[in-house]
Amino acid sequence: MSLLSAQAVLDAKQLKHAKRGILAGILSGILWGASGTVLGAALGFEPFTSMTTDGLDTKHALAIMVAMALCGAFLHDAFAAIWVGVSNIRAGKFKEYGRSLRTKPGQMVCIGSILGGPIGMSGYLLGITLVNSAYALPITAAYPAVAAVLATIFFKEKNPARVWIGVVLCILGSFLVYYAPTEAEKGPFFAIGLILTTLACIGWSSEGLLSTYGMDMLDPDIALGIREGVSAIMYFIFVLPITTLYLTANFGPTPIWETVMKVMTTSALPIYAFGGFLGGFSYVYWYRALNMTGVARAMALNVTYALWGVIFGAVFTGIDITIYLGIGACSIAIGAILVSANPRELFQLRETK
Amino acid sequence: MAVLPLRFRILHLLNQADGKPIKMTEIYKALYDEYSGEGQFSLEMMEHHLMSIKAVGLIDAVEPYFDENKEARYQYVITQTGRERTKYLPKDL
Repeated sequence: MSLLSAQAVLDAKQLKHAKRGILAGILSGILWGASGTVLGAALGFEPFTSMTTDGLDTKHALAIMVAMALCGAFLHDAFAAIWVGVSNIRAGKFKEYGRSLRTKPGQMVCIGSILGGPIGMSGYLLGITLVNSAYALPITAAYPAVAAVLATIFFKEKNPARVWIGVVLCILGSFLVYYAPTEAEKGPFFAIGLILTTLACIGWSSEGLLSTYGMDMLDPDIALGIREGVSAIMYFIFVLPITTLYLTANFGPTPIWETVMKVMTTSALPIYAFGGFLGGFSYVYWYRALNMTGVARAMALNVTYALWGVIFGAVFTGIDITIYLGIGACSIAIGAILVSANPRELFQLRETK
Repeated sequence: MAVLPLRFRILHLLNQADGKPIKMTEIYKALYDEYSGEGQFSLEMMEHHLMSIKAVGLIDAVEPYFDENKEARYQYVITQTGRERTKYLPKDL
């Protein structure tokens, strides 16, 4: 057998590797869309159905909504950490956790997880509660673009114009899918809400960059296991206690910890577990895609969750398909095709020395 | 006993080779004693890690060859970018 035929075989192997990266990006979007639909279903259970904000003043109602949202984020990440941990143990990778945490790249992933989880997700949940989504969504929807630009600057990621157009179309589409025209008042917490929403955008894009950098030297599945575990621990030790104490002290009269306890013991816990399963593996595939396809492509393919969310919502919960939804879904589909059109570009993702 | 994550250890090994290309099967054999008891350690996983590290520019694939099982493989060499990343290796290695 000649070296020429060896080269052909190896080219085919690399192409298969690249296609697996693109498939991972698409799966991350599908699973995140499904996870959102499942977690939405949890709101049909106690205590959410009987928990009403009617008759409460605005501040108290907001405090209850914030507490519920943060509890939901904690439950999601905790269940995701467990599922991903089980998967890594089955794959014979358990010892990689300790080894990775002892290295600087592992510690970078930890910092990324705090930026993306407790800071990014909390900022998003608080921001979207305090500011109308029509104002908050354009800011949070921009995080893939921010990350893609930063990856070009810091990682020297090579992305042709076609990929950039695809990224923009995916972001525009995800914004349109969730867009709802509003004439709502800006409210008393508008400024702080916008700051928190911007924090979410910065947190998520920073997570993508730090984790991608760390995964150059670490297994993506282990990086994600660390990410979900650290995030859940930070929610449990810092975010939930501090937020609960702060909200109870400032937004009484009902102690907010009562809301927290009700959510933690909800009969919808199995639904959260299933949502954590889908969400956890969505992240597994997202991290693999970040490593195998680069930041710009992985981010664009991940935000296709908005398209999949529409499809799952239409099938399982009967959402109305508006004109914005239709245009947004088409924009995402075209963007995803442009982003993944030439897998051979993934053989060498960055300029190198 | 292995102290580094497998992917980082591969980069470490290629850095120790001082610019000399190493066959994939030689990398596998060199790390066998450290990782062989673990489910993750296989030729397939090794190739996956190498392709990923190559794609991000830390190593280069050079000169293909056929191994003893007539499988096409690459030889790998560390790049300057890869060398720079070894600054993150623990100091006590």
